[in-house]
Amino acid sequence: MEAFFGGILTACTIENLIFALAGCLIGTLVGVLPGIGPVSSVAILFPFTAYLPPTGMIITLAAIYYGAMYGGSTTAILMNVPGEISAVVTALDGYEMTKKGRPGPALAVAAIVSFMAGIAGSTMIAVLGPSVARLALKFGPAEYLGLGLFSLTAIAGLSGRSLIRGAIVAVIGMILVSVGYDDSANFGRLTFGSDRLLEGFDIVPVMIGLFGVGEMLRVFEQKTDHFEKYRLGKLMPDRRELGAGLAAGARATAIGLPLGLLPGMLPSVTSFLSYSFEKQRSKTPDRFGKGAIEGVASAEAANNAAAMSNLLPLLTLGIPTGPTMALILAALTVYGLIPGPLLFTVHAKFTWTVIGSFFVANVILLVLNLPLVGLWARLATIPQPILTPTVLILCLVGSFSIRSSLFDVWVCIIFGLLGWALSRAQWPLAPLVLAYVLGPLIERSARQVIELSPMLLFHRPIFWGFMAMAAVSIWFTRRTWSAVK
Amino acid sequence: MRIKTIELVVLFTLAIVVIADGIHLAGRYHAHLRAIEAGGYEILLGTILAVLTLLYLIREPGARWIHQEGGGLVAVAIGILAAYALLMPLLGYLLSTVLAALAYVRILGGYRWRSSLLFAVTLAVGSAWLWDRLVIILPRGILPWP
Repeated sequence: MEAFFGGILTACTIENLIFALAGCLIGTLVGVLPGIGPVSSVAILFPFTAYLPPTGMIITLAAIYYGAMYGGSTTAILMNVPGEISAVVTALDGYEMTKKGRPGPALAVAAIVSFMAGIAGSTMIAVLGPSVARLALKFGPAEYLGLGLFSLTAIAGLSGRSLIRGAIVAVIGMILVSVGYDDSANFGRLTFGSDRLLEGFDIVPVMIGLFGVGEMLRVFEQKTDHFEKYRLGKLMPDRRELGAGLAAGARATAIGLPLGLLPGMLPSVTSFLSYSFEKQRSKTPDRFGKGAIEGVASAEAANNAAAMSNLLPLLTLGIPTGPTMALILAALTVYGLIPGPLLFTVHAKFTWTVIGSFFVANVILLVLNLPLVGLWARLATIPQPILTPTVLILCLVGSFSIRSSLFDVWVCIIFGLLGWALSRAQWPLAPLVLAYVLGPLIERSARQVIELSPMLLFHRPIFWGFMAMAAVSIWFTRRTWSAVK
Repeated sequence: MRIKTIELVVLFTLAIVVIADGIHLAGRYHAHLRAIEAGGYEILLGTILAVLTLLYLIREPGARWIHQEGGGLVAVAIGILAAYALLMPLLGYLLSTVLAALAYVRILGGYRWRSSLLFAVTLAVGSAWLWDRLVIILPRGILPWP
């Protein structure tokens, strides 16, 4: 408890408040721009946060992530232009409310339930984090191998319609990360005699290429839509709307929090599930899709609850449940911060400050963004020919800045083209990112198990526990995807 | 069907290359356990990829390439990006960014020369100032700044 309040106080220092505020503003700004979602935002802005101290970096990245989700829902409600996938559900009823002249209450309820879900998620991390992290003290190579393989089951949720394609892309990710100098063997792999390839591919240019450059290439292909004008009107909902919205938000939070702990259970999927549940339990399901406040509230609350609870397995066990969490894991490793019990003991001040900043960022988003909603909506109408070169240049500079290497710029461009081609041919990208981050952990653990004794696996019940959870996770996630379809 | 053929060729080729590199590593340094492990891991990944590709061939329908009207624009955009990466070490960040932004806005955006140039110069100078403040060192080229 003392550590928790200490974290809140440290998060409220001027320096950390500025990081949180900057992250929220930049995240929301980027989130309202069509074509750039939370994952792309974090990928593109990641290199620039590397110049900050470790606490500032994680606070800013997390704030950018939440801000981008909020920004995406703002344009979804006002203009039927979702900034990211989970905002598609928000737009179903949010835009209908705008057409009826009530965008203000939709935006207000979305902001309030997002705040509620964010606080609930932050509380869950604060309460459960240390206990779950202590579990990792019992982990040896076999357990980490099981953990890595369990984390890979996220592919089941990230693959979309085809699990085989997702698995292929994941294996390609593991191959890509193995390119370069192998420290333990003292030999290069897949370098073909090239000194450049001996350095391997840095994760940052790869991510920026796939999610930044690739996204912009997709935007080039699309026409710019004509946006209908809207009148913001009164911001606050009436008592009935607020009550209905808060109740739906509470139910959605209860759904989103546990689901967000599962690998592959992206916030967008929990939005669909929660909306579907809310519609089914309603006595008047016909209202959904025509401006039901419960529709907006359930999508937004589930989305934010899952996004917050994604952080629990990341901070405690090092399990990235999706591509954005994989990027935040990469950010932690930049400063040598390994998720697990050490994060809550040796680096306790850093960890509790970051957890405290989650609360602070949620407050900032609630207080700041509603008054600025008119500005965000205007930014969403920036012409594409102006937006895309700006983002592309940002991507290339970000890639260059990691190692001051033009090789990384070319990696970014090539992966951008690859990302565009994969999406055109309907191949998923997220499994590649996940496998890229998990590959070294799985290989290292597997090699340690082999060196100790493969028979070790038969004497480690936690390993088999993870295997059982992996099987259940794959089954549950594929079943959930079928239901969402 | 042609798209799927290309995909299968690429995937099988990749699998063969990875397995071959793994065999080379493990075979050449067979007295070194770590080399066998490193090579063995590659062989494992390559084999899994080959098996999955086979499953893809048997079980998955052919890929559908989603055609969009602006497909040609993507080629132009990548060309400009590649030229930008080639020119940056020669001309420096500032000049190459002006040229790249100008090309994007004029060719792909259809804006007039004057407004395109104004935007390009503003973007280049503004961003160069920002990178300078963030101490991000970029190629200087023929100009003394940034």
